[in-house]
Amino acid sequence: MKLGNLSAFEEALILDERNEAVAKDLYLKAIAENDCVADAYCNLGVLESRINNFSKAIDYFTLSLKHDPRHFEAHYNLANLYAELGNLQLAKVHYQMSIQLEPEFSNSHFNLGLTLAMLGESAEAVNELYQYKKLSEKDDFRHVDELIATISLTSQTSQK
Amino acid sequence: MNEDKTLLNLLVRAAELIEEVYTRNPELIHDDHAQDYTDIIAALHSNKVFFRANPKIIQMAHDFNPLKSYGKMPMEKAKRVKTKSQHRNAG
Repeated sequence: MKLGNLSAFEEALILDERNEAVAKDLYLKAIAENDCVADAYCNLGVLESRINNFSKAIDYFTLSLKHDPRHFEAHYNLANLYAELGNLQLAKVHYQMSIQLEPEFSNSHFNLGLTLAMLGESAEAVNELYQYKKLSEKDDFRHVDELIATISLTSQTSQK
Repeated sequence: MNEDKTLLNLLVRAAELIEEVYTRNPELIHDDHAQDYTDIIAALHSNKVFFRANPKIIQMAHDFNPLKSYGKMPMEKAKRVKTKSQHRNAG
């Protein structure tokens, strides 16, 4: 299916939003045509991580960073993947890098907060979660407040 | 006094039941079950009821981290780059 006069990357993005498997081939086509290479690799990484193909996902995210070392989504997604795999130190570094590049993106602050909490860096974690609340457009922060309370409780328990 | 004994017997039966399920299929025992099991064992010991606890279930409760129950925000697709057709449209 050819969607009008779109580039391979744009076509891939539209089909990706519709969860169509052909999106993967179109991202690869975009890369071959030198069209939004870093973005295409990044989105291939998201597709691979969805099917738990973690090594391939890391490969694609790092290829994205090879083409654009300051690619915000690649850093953020790589951080998510490292957090998923339990490598919290690497997750922390990539979340911090994504915040350097896009400080207004609230989700990086939430995920960094959660990662720092798991690392036992409670004060820094709570700071990030407050930053998330400040930047997020959501109205309901009950789950964030609950998380902050859990971090405070966990921190007090471990200090005893 | 008899009521206390009945309750303690019920706790012993509950602990044995959790152990039996764990022995048959460990995947059926989750963090909160392990936490309950640990609480039951502590209650039995504090009432001087000897019960040899299963160390694996106790360890499971010990490893439980409440932070793990909070989900991360999802991955983000890259779509901010100005694509060819946008360049064409802009031009």
